Amino acid sequence: MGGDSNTAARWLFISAVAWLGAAVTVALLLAVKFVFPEFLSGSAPLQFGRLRPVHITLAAFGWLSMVQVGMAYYTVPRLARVELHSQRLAKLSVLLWNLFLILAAITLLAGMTQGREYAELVYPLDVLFLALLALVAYNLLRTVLVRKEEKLYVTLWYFLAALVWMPVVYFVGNVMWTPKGALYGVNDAIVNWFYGHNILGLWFTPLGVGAAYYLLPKLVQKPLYSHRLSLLGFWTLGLFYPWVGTHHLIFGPVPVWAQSVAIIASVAMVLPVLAVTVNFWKTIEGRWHLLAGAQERLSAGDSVALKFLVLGGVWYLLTCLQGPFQALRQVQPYVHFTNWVVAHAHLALLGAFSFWGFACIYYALPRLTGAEVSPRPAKAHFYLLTIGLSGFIASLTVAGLIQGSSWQAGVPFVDVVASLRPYLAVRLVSAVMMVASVYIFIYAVFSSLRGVRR
Amino acid sequence: MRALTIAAGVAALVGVALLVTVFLPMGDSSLYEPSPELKPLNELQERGRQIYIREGCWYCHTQQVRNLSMDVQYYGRVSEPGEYAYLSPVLLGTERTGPDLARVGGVYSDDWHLAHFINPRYTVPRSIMPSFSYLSQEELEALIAYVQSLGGAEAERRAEMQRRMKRAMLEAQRLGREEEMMQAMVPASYRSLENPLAGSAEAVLLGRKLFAENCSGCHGSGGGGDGPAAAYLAPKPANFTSAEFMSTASDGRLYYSILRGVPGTAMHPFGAKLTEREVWSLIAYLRTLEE
Repeated sequence: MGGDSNTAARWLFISAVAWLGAAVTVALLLAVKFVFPEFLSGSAPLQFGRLRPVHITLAAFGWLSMVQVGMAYYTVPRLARVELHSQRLAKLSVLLWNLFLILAAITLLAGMTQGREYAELVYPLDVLFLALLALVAYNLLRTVLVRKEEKLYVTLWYFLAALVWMPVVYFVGNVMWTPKGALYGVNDAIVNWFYGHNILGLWFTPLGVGAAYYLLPKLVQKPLYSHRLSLLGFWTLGLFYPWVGTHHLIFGPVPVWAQSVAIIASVAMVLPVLAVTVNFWKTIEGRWHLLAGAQERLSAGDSVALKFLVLGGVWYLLTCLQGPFQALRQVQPYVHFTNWVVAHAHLALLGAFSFWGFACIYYALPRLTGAEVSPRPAKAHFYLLTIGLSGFIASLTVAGLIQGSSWQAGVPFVDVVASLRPYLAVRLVSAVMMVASVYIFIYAVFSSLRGVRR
Repeated sequence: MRALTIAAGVAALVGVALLVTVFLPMGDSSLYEPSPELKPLNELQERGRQIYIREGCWYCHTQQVRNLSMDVQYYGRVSEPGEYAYLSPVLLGTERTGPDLARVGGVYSDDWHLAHFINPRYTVPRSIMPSFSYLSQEELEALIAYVQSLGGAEAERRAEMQRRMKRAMLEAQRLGREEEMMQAMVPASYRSLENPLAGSAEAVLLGRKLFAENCSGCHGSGGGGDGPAAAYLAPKPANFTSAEFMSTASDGRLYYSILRGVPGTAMHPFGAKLTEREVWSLIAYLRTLEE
């Protein structure tokens, strides 16, 4: 397939890369502020509390969602053996999406927020995002419904589910039946966390796992280990994940039964995670040499895509085992409200899902554009990001444990803040490495595209 | 057909979860029943709350005392659903880069908050909170009114007491009877205490470090009562280099003020933050500052 039939996917990948550049630049400013609080101080739009949601919105709804939906635009027609239902609607969705992100960044910097985590955006932007989600979902569902391929590969199951789930999660989570976008009292927090956790569980996870299930057999040149196991993982994900949100409010002012239900579901999440993981590693079995040494069998792009895919699988397992562990009442007091959670969130969104996102781009973009990825910057991107992320996760995890145990011991609050400084400094150095790796990635992508035009 | 079945199946799964985890609590009227003393915020406090939301204060400060002994020890009584009945969004928070604020109202004076918002390091030298010096005077006043309301009726009473004491202190100051009033506030059993660590070089060294970390923002790095926060405070912070002040202030009076704070001023209690040895060490250091 070539020509116009791939335009939307290509646009979306390129937009994703550009927004990632913006998101990590903001992240770097934030990391500096933790060590040097006077950095850029005294300016309203550059104040920490205004930049933080910009970072998260651009990373989650810009980069990550865009690269994942781009992958859906790429894979769904291929797995269904038909053209995308409407290339025009898909291109429209990309344009609307970029408009949405520009407006999101401007409004957040201006301090226009609904005061709810991950759900900050003002009502008109919520409506715009829901509209473009509907556009994406309609287009892809129509494509699946007229498919010529009889078999429904597991990737399509996951994408279908994500497209059904996300509009519901977004609508309910943003309390969109009122323009205020919030409920009264503690139920507001319950709805907020149903939403906050399920954009991860019912959007990034099915889209990410679906993409990984597509890429893995292609890259290791071997069929998926078990279709049945992948379906077990699929249905248990749907069964347990939507219930976990209230584990963000353990010991808080919400009904204890609701906390317990969330804890039980969180622990049950071990099942789908193991199903995915076992399937993943069993598929790679016998093909490890592709990761090292025998790279002549893969193109430069595919080779680095496989590296990102496999290491992303490791981060996925780690973060998904942390989840059930953290949700336990015995562990909560030591980790909640601390930097541990910041590390955990980055392990999931940057480690697992963004690594798979990079794999998608290194795999699919050359196939869409005919451009070759140049191996040196791609490898530099991979190794620098991996080192940076490891330093980031290690420093914040330790910082979090220091916070949690110091609070348990009754150490004065500001003494605990002061004791974190070395760890926040390591985080800053790690952040510099990660941001540099992303700039290298952007350079690699755009220089390969320049080659195509010539 | 197969695809539609899957879509219906996953929709049903999320529907059931929504019903139980979200809609069931929404139908629980006990979660909306206001606490007995709960009042809606007044206009100024509500305006302050909007600034608190706009500036993203809630990313680093929680507003919930969890049912954990460590939370109670730091922040007071456990939070209940009824205390949030009138709030939307609810701002429970998610991270404690800074301390919980659920019951912070009245713990510090209005002046302390003003200096703290202008630059948090003025009052808490090791703070990493951003400076909010770009807010207008009116915005700062609203934000202070909001923060002083946190903790409900109990907080309002504390904040009101701070304001009443401030007026009394300023009046006493005008009459030149400030130290007299201070002495009257210190119980006799404290007034006559003597510093068991007086003259210890070790204590002075520890005291110097503690002073730089905790006191220098208001009292100045040399103890002259001229720290960067002082410009925003009335009454002014004590000047430990003044021979007159240091001769009237007994060890016991200093000990009591550090332990309990001085209501109506920015001097808040350090009793929960410093050990007995640390407080006496600080006093030993203060005695070296006189010029």
